[in-house]
Amino acid sequence: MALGNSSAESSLIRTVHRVLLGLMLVVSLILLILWRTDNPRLERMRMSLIDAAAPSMAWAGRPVEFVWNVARDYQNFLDVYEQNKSLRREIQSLKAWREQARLLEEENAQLRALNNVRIATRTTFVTGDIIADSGGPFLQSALVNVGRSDGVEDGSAAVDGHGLVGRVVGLGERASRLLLLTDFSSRVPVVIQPGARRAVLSGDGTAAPKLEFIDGSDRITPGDLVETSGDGGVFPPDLPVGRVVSTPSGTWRAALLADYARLEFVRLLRYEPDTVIDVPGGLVRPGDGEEFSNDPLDALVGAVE
Amino acid sequence: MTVTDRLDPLDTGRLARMVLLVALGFAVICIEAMPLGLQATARPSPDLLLCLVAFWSLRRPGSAPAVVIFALALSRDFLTDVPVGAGAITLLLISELLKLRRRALARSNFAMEWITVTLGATLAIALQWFLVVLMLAQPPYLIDLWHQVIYTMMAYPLMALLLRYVLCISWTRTETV
Repeated sequence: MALGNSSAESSLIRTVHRVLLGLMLVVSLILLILWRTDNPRLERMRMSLIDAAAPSMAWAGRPVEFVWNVARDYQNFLDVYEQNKSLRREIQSLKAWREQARLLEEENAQLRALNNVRIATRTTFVTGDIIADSGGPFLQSALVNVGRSDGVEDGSAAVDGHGLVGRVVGLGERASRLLLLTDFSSRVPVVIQPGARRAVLSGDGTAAPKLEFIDGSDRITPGDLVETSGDGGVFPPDLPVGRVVSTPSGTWRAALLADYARLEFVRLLRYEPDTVIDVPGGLVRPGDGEEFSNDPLDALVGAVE
Repeated sequence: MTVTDRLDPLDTGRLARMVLLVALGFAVICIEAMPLGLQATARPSPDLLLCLVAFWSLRRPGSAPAVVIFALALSRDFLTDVPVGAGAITLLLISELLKLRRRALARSNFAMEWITVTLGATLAIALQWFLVVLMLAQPPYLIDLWHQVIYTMMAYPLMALLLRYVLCISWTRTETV
């Protein structure tokens, strides 16, 4: 009797287990579909989980990160002789540049004073520590330990000391998620200098993203500077991004200036685009204060009167 | 020991092991997510959570219920940007498959277990790739996935050593007899 009971019980447990397993698989599939459709609720859920876990994630990673950095620095130490030689060469060429930069700076200041130029200073920034990356091969992204409470906004550009790194795609209270320029879904409007040729920088999972839709691709040369164009109002204009390189297949790519291998801190820019005038002004006529009309016939009648 | 005894929810030993699994799982997720080079050519980290769950599901299936595995895998999906849900589906399936094979593996040697877990990891990563393709999203390069399989394979014996000799988790007597 007891045996019968226990076998009935175990078959019941097995059934419950199967139902539960099926339920979890269905929930996973629904989440996968929501992920694919960029559901904002899912993103909020992700960011609240990250907010809760971010402090401990930063703490847990410290020891291994320390060992990793020691190993990397030791590798650097081994190449110190070669590095020293190349740095000396670099100093020689930079000295000449420094002199030129000083002269240009002076000239620039004089010209600005003459012209009474107003420089737009609407970009401020907040610096954060990178606490995690995606780890796997599916997405090129990173977590930073600053969020909405520090003044970060959705879409903020992230830069390191050299150039653009990516932008904020998920925003929590104390953490934010960056999509790097190398990710498959990253698209950034850029200009190629000199010549201000517009293009789109699109990530494709390689270290050097592709330059697409280039305006006059026959007139760009390897080594040209790639900067953000500011189109779309997400990124501030003129942020350095990379240098143009050509590939054997004939496509153009940008070798990124940002040092992704040693990225520890990033600056997240708070950018407010300058006032944009994109609609024509209305007709101004004598007798202001009356109701304004856009109708040209009204204006004509007004003028005759 | 009857079925009811084994499934007593107040079994403190089992509960403690479950808590330990969750804590270790979270630690492993943090290690996977460490920012050790963000460049596109950086090596992908091994699937350490799969190694942990595989070892635990084989030795202590009682304290590795599907709900706990699901919660751990889903947290990993959210925290490390794996397509949400794809990681959970695959880890859950691999854990259940290994639980079915555990009696046979308990009687064979570690090499057999290593091969089985490596096959499981390959299956898991291939399934994730398939789900991403099915969702019409851009899948990663196959070479990166292949690297991840190889690193996971190399990580499994280390994880097994750590759990076996530091936390003393070995086969229970009923399986090996």
